Amino acid sequence: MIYLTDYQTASTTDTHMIEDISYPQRVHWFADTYARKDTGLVYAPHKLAEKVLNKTLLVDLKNRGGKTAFILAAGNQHFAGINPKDSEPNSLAYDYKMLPLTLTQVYAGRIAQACGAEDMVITDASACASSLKVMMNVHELFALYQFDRVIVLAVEDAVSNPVLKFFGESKAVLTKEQEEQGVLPSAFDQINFGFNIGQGAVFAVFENEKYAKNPHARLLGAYSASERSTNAIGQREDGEGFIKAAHGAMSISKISPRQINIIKTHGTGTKSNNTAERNALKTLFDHRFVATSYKQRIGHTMGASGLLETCLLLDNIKDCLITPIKNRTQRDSVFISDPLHIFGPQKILSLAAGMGNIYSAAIFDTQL
Amino acid sequence: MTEQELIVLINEIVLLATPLNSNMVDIQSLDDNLADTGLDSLDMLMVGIYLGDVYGVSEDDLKAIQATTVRQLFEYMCQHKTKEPKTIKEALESIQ
Repeated sequence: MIYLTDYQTASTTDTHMIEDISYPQRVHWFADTYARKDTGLVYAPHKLAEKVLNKTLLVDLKNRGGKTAFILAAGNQHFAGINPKDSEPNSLAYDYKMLPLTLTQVYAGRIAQACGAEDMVITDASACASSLKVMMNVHELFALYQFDRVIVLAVEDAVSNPVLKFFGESKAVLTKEQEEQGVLPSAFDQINFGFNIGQGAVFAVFENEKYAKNPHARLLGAYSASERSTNAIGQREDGEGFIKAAHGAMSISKISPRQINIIKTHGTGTKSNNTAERNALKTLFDHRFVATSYKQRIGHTMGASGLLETCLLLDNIKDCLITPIKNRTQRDSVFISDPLHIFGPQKILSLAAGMGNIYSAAIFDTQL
Repeated sequence: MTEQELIVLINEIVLLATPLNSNMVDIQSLDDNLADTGLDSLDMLMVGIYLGDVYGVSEDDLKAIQATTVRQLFEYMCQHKTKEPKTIKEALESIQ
């Protein structure tokens, strides 16, 4: 048994319009992660990570004992060698004086040390699927390598010049111009669509039955897959990648589609994801499913999004109220447009997709 | 600044520069050996750069730091300083 015993999340529904960049856009961000940036002494992704790194918990983890691994799911962010400037110096640009400390593996090693994970350190860069993709690693470490504990930190400072420029240029995010035309972020809807970028992080601790105390949920299984594709940043309309990932996760979890109570979609709300994910869910579940999405509320937190949104869903389940897909104008029986009251334990299917042709799925159960 | 103030300053800088490890560090004396403070080499790199900012020490000079004790660290900063804060508050304001 793999239990999710602790988690801390950081995300925000607050938004801020960033004007002084090549593609002005609204973002969900913590302004304090960029405070003191001009000193050259702070690195925004680290400041974001610190929001979920509770010192008391880190010390406690260090003292728990057991064979422990640490995984840093860093999404698209190759921390090292970044050039945080846009075409011109702007409100997000900064020079960090300690580049060696931005190396992804170095940072992972430091956090692993702080939480006593002395048996394995892993980093992952599976783009926006990163934090769900590593659920497969978590499962393997317990099932094949007899780890007692796996700690996951998923963080990506999506509100950075390189990310905003890339997504603005490729018209993947909602621009200021679209916002002025009245478009609101939503998913699986005929009128509203798309997302804004958001900062987010999640710190999660998975433990076996020997160490788990007061767990929140069980991780039943996870799987990642690719699809037959001619374009590494595209998605097949039939949702093959999502289907393969979900099939794999259900198979390893020994769960049938009918046993899934609720689905956390990748739900970016882009035209291509709406089509691919909707078709995948139709193939997997016919029309017998209930699904939501969180990106319209907190932004697309990129590499952190899959696990972070799963933890938000776990919070919703504790509150017996599932958050609907924001700004959705349609009403149907499958995608939630209004708050949904639920009762009792739930089996969750979480989905994520990442550029580079990676699809991930994980199944959690709140029945302990 | 007095020796006592320098001890307060170095502990404050440790807190700022290494927020995750700082609770294991408590520098009591300027003669404390840096290797015994609980700071690892990367922590020391960060503390050195923060301190260099406080004293306006160039990056080239920072790369050449050789210090065994906290006192030697401050002495090196003083030898290569381009500014010197008068109070702890003034020192921290420049890096906060």
